[in-house]
Amino acid sequence: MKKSFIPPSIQILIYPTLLLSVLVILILIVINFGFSQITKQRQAMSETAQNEKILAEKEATLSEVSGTVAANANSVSLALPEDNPALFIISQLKLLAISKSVVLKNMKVGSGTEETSLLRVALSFNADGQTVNVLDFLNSIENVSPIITIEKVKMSQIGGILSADTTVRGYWSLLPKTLPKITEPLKNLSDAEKDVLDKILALTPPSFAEIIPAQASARDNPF
Amino acid sequence: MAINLIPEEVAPKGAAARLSIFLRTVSAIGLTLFILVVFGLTSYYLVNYFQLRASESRQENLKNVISSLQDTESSLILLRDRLSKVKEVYAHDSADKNINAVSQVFAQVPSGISISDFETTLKKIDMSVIAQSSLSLSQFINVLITSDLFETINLKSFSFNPTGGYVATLEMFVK
Repeated sequence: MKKSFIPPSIQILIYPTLLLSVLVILILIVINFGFSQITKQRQAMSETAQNEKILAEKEATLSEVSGTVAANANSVSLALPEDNPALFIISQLKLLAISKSVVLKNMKVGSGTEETSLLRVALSFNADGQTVNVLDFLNSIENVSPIITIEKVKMSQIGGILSADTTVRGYWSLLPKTLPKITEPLKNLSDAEKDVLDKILALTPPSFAEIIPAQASARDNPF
Repeated sequence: MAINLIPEEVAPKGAAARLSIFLRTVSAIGLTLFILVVFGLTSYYLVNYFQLRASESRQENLKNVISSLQDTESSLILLRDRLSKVKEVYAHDSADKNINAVSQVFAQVPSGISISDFETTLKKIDMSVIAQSSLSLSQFINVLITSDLFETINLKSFSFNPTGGYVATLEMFVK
């Protein structure tokens, strides 16, 4: 019988020690790898749940407002257009002046100026008429669309006729150019925004005349 | 009776044998626990995996619905943008409130008072008043005070003309 150099008391420990070592190494590898994978997965799940919540809220908001938002956007775009609204303002002021029995004279339009994200144009005119009518006219200016604010009024009375040398401001602003990412949250209008919207919806919009093309008709014989 | 054929000098000693048995037992328990942990982790991973897939699928559906509502989204963003700008416009100083205040004053002007000139800017109102008598002038001042529309009323000038009466120039700041 070949005699081993390793004593039997050591020999008997080699196999279980080796087994235990392999087991410990395996446990370390599996725990390290497994937990890192699960942590990554939990993070992905958390992000996915967050995105899903945002998308669900967005879908609910869009479905809720889909019936009214286009009309409201149109009204607000008329109140604050993307181009210089001077022509609309002149038209609105003239219509308003006629309805209040006021005569508008010396209408002048200034050049547009930029102020933060807003652009503005100054218009000046003389509003002549009875005191009550002129004041009523000036008070009604804030009720028309596009939005007009009064900057300065100088009044003088000559022979019972009030002449108001008035300067008003009209505003416009460029439209947003990009849509946000699909996963960005989108909430419905806040109460403050709804209040502003109600105010705008109450404004008198400019009237647009639609020119209907003439029907084709038989030509008269020129001879 | 079992016969031990291992030579006496080769047989392991008692302490080594007990340690060997202990290590084997620990290894067996450890292996069992290891298998259970691996099974648990794998199950947990798989459950999460399927949940993740289901959530991604729901997200895709929602994205499709949102894409079909893109016009509505554009309108809502436009509406929001316009409203924020309109708020800026309304936040600016304007003489509108001054005109409102003056209209109310004009509606209550007592007899014997004539407002000859009036100017309003963004901040203040300047007004020239001709009064036939001191009584009508005091009544007018009383109207201004009781209207509760003005924060400050400054009397800038005051003169008397025997033909026209009293002429007062007022500077007023609306509340």
